[in-house]
Amino acid sequence: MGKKSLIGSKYSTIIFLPIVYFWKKNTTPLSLRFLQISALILLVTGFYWPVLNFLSGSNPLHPEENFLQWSFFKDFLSDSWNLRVIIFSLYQAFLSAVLSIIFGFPGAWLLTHYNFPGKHWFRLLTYLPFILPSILVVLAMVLFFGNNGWVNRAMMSLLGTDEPPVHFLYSLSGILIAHVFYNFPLAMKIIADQWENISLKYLQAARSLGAGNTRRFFSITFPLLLPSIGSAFILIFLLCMNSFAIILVLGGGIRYTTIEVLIYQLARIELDFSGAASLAFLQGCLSLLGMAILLRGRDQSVEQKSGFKSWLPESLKDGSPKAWLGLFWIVVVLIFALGPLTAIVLDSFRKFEHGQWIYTLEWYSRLFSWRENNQFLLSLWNSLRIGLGSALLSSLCGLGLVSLIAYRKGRQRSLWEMLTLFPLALSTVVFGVAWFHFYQRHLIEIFPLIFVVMSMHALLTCPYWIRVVLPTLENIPRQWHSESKMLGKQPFEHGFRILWPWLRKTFLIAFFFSFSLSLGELNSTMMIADDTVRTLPLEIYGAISGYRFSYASAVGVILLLLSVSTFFVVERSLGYFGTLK
Amino acid sequence: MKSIILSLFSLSALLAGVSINSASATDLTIYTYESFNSEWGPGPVVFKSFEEQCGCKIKIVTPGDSGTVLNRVILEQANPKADILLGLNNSELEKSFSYKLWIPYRSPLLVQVPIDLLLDKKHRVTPFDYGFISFVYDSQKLKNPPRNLEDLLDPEYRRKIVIENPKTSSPGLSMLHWTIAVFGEDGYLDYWKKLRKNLLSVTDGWSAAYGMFTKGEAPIVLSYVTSPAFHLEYEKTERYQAALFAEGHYRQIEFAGIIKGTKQIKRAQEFIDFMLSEKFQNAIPLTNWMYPVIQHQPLPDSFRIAREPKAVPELNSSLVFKQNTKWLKAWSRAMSE
Repeated sequence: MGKKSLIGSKYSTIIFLPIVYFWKKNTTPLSLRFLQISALILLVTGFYWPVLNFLSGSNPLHPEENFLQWSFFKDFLSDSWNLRVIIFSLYQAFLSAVLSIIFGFPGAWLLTHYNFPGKHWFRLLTYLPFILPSILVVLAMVLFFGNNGWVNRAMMSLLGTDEPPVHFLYSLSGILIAHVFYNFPLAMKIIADQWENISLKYLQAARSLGAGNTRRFFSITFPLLLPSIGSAFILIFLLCMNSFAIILVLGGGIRYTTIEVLIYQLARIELDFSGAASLAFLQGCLSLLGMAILLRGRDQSVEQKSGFKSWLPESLKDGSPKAWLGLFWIVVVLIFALGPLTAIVLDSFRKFEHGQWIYTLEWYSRLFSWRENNQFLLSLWNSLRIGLGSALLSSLCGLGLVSLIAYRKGRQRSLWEMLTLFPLALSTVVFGVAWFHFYQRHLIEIFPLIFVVMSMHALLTCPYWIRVVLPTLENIPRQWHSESKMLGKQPFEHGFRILWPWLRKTFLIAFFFSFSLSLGELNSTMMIADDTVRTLPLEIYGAISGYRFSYASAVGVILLLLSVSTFFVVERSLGYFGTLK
Repeated sequence: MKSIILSLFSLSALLAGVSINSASATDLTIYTYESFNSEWGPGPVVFKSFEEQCGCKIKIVTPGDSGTVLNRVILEQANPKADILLGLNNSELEKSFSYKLWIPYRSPLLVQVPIDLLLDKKHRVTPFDYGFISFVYDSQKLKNPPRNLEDLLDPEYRRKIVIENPKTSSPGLSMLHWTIAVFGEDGYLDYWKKLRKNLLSVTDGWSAAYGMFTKGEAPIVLSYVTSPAFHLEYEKTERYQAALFAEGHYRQIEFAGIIKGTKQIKRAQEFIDFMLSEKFQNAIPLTNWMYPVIQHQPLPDSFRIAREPKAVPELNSSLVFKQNTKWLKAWSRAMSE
């Protein structure tokens, strides 16, 4: 025990020193500094400390072994099969990120340049896949894109054949379709936010100099959008690196294996924590390397000024080809992104009886019936409070961290960005194990489990929060801050009068995102959770292992509704706060 | 801004505050896998009746699927929190023995358990149910079901079979062991290489595979002999059938054991006895969809569609422990060639 705490204290000094240093050097207002320090403490004690402790400490099962062993890396990397797995992991993540951006880009353009009825809903609905646990996403994809899915059946009846005309799934294309379905809204959101703030001045100036549409786009708009494209790319790349069920099921599971699958196998099946930790470390480093390359040389600031928007139906009447293109894109998105979700919704109303499917409300009436052992209602309540709590925590933590990154340049910025992104890059399976250790040694019986789970979720969702808010925050011209300081505004007044109206919408989206991610989180929670923090994803898995697939779909639908309604409640309350003068 | 933060804080405090549960003293802590204690599993029924019987309070902890439960107990070995682990698979036995996790207990009720289920002669762990993996098919789509493992290689089933990955799922691993038991360590890889063409997908777990099957995506899935009984019991249909194979089926036996370091040894032993008693065993077929180790009463009527198949001799558990990593490595390389 003595040795262990020594190791702990060594690391705690290394970790806490920068904080002390930081505190002394700082000139920011006290309230913000307080937020920054608390965010750093949460990030460090909640993530870096447990993870470093775990990686540097000894294997709990073989105390004589260290976790990180060079011999493991040497053996692992000298096997050509493993190398192929590494290359494929990077390759699919790269492709998925690029495709998500290509697919999200027209959406960003459309949201920036046009208003149309239902735009609000449209934005919201595209985020929904994030809320569903992976098993439901997989089943939704199968129901919609599968060989016997809606798309294929529609085509079969059109063409009059018995064989599915297109094999979307069970190959690389299956992986990519699912990843794009999941991630393009993220790309769309991050790019649109930046786009909305590109000053019209530039474009008008370029036009008066005689630059054509294409030239204007490539020499002005595109370079100004690059930071947000980079931001979206990093997030999606990391997400796809850690993807697990989608890769195995929709990739067909034979040829396509990723590092995450190997980590899972080592940590969960073979109980080889040294191997799992080493691999997770390798995966994290590879992701960070990719990020470092991307983060270099993208220090750009964009002068803001909101652009005008046209009304899409009007432009359609005028026969504008751009507007028609936009409409076409909306239709494609509605089919391909909402199709699988609709399939899940319909599935929740079905029941298989006497050899055929019948439509019924049975699952919903079961969900809300008052009976003994109705674990659903309890899970609903748990999910709601853990989701809200962790989204709040994540917002506060994100606010502190984002203020550290914003407006910084060069190497220092890259460092901060990496520090805040690393929780995303590390495999959740390994994070779960590391946390479990930490929890057992330091937290058990001190904090109620629910707070522990909230902070864990907050840590995992905070990087998203930061990525979503950062581009918008940096669009605020720096002189605003100095001007309001010169005018003698108090920090709170500055924050409330100037930053808040500007960032309100983005905060809402970021909050909603954190909330949704927390609702769907399962992997790392399962390790420490017990009955007191049973959440809806667990309810879904429980129902499925009891053969109740349609019941699971119904719980999934509730999860979607929960998230959407929370969005509106939060939006309303933010609207209320926003109008205070 | 201040007021927002304040109100948000108080909201979160309120939300969390309600949570602090009155942790009453528990007399017995049981670790089991998630689905055992789900609303549909045996947990709610059997744990309640044990509490009534012993007049004590039990705490159930479910750290994930069955593999994870053992991991958790091993990780906590220095400072055990659980008194009983319920739900250990035969392929994991040797691993658990290598960590010396158990306090042996020989329940007097064991005399009623068939001798071939008692894999551990030292009684460190006690079996409570068992089942067989098998290929389940949709009889409406498949007029010509396979009759043995070789039949599955027929081009007729091209891209029609869904199985689970042996690296990430327990039926998947049993399937790998099944082929090793039937074709031997020299022959199993050849079999898998030939089977590859007929596989539509190799999923991460049973849930995705069986979901694909019931949603009509594939007519054959790797599941359990008892799966059709569910459809007969709750969906009143015999459309789904288990294909019985001539060479016999691989058996999964589930065990429970008393964890070394427990302070509740008497209670724990009482629970093991209860586990073999009528109340527990009778709940197994229709909630866990397995066979009880002691048939205190005849199986439910829906089990007429799930007759017990011939078993292939299981692989020796110490052999599995020694060779598993090697097999899995060879398997994944053979499959991705």
